[in-house]
Amino acid sequence: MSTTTTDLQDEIDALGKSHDNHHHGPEKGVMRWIKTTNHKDIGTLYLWFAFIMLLTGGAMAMVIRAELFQPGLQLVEPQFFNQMTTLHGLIMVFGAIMPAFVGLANWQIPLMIGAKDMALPRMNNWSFWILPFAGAMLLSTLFMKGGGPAFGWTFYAPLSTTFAPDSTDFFIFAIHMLGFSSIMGAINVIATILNMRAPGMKLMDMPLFVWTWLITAFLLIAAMPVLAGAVTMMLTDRNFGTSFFDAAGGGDPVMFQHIFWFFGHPEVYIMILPAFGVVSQIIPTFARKPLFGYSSMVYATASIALLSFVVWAHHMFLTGMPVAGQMYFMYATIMISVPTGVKVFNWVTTMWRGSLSFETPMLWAVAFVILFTIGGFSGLMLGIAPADIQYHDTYFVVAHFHYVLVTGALFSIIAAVFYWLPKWCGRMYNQKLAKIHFWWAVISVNILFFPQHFLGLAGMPRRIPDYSLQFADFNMISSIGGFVFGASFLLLTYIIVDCIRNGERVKEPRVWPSAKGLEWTIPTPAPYHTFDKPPGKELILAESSHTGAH
Amino acid sequence: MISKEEARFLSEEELLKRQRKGATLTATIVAMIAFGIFFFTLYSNM
Ligand code: HEM
Ligand SMILES: [Cu+2]
Repeated sequence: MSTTTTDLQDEIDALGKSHDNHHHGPEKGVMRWIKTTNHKDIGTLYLWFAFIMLLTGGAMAMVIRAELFQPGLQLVEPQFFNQMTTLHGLIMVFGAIMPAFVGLANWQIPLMIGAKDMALPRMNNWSFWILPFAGAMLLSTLFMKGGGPAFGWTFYAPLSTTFAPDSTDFFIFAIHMLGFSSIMGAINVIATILNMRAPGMKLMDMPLFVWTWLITAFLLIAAMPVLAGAVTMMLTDRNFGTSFFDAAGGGDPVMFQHIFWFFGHPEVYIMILPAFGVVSQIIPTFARKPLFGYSSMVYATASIALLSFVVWAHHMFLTGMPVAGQMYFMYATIMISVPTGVKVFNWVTTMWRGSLSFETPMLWAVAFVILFTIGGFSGLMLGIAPADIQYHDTYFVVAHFHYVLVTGALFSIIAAVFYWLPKWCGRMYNQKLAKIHFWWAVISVNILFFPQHFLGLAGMPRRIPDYSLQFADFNMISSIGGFVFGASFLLLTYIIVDCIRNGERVKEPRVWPSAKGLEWTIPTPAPYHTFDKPPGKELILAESSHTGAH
Repeated sequence: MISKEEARFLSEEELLKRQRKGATLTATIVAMIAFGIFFFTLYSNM
């Protein structure tokens, strides 16, 4: 077997024509990043893009919380406030959380299955480079005549069709591009996991992060085209005289909601299944025990994915559904808590009587288990159709989805970065500062979002710039929590940049001595090309984080 | 999946060829499913 280290794309090209497999590292300068087909480079690009989007969306959240600091209109026009809530949601979902998980997938999946690279390296480059253009287009709508989209991240018709600003066509194009990028990313993940695993690695030998991403990729393939269809119909309704969603022309605006949520509910699982994977990697490492119930984790993930397609109308209990429909969607929704409960049980049982230690990644993972579960419980409350008549469109919903998305999805991404960053860059971050940052963030995030439950139960509607006086106290507390939480990201930026530039060098392949997995068998920092020689079955089994002793 | 017995008799290039074949086939099928769902979404609302 040759020991040359070439890009997989070069080797693929060489299969066709005669081409010398010359040794080379990355190109120099910006061209490296523009032309790269290397999964590690592309993973890095995705992660930085996601981080910039997180800060941008975060800045919008600061505007929202500043306006809501006190009742009355102080800082921004109501129309601008609505643009902020809309773009905050869109940017966080499509610009921050999803690309961050794709970045983690790019870095980790090949390393965890012993592959040289992603299966389709050149398409991988396209998937990423579409994103900055889509993101820029979305943001540019804010500066257009009539302002940016102000109809909420769910862009219900007819607000997004008949009554929308002109910039909506740019919004539609941005969503098309984002969708195209995610679909290409998902195709690549599926092709990589199904075809590029080290010889002898069975599906049930795969680490859970790989499993959860495989299932997520199928969710993306099934859900993103539906979103693309929805925006396409909006486009033709707006510009080409169709009336899919226009009652005056025989269309149906409620149909929009069905289509949107048929995409939208699976979408929320797209944002949480990879998080489950991350946590399932981290907890065994710092509990020094194999993951409890590996196969039940795989089946639970698959059940959640399937169920996620049959519960969408729990977002629509107030559209006037027949009682039988409400009952069905209520029971189906509540059924998801069974496989979700299996997962939480397995994480807790993995920790049970483990020899626990609380390094930074573990702190974030444990916080995830506790706080995500709070979000799951409020989800259950919302899933009860008669109760949702009270809760729907209040701050209770806002509290719910921020627990699952911020203390769930985002926390797992931060955990993953603190877990794998030393492997990526060969340097350790300042662990003391990282722990201070953790406590800063975890306390402030609860001050930010927990009072929103009370506001919602007391009847405060969501998506409004002003509110009546009885909501003043909790809003002020929430805003203070928001500013403090927002500021914590400045420290996070410092910790990460400081790690990459000046962090203490790490040389051990196994950065965390108790960690298992193929990614810990390669040198630190991870070389530009890895697994020229696929790992053998013995190594695969020895490095399994779900069998054997730690 | 390529089993380790099969892989033992493959050169690096042959292994890559096999993986490529599988990857392109998988990608094509999955892409067709995605296009199918997209057009079905439009069609079912006509
Ligand atoms: C434990 C299972 C869950 C249940 C039973 C559940 C249930 C619900 C229900 C019934 C609603 C609609 C509330 C309303 O509008 O009146 C809702 C909203 C929402 N959920 Fe969940 N949920 C669960 C988990 C999740 C997860 C894991 C995520 C994301 C990671 C998520 C994200 C959202 C979002 C973003 C919304 C708000 C959508 C909007 O803007 O209207 N949920 N959830
Ligand atoms: Cu839902």
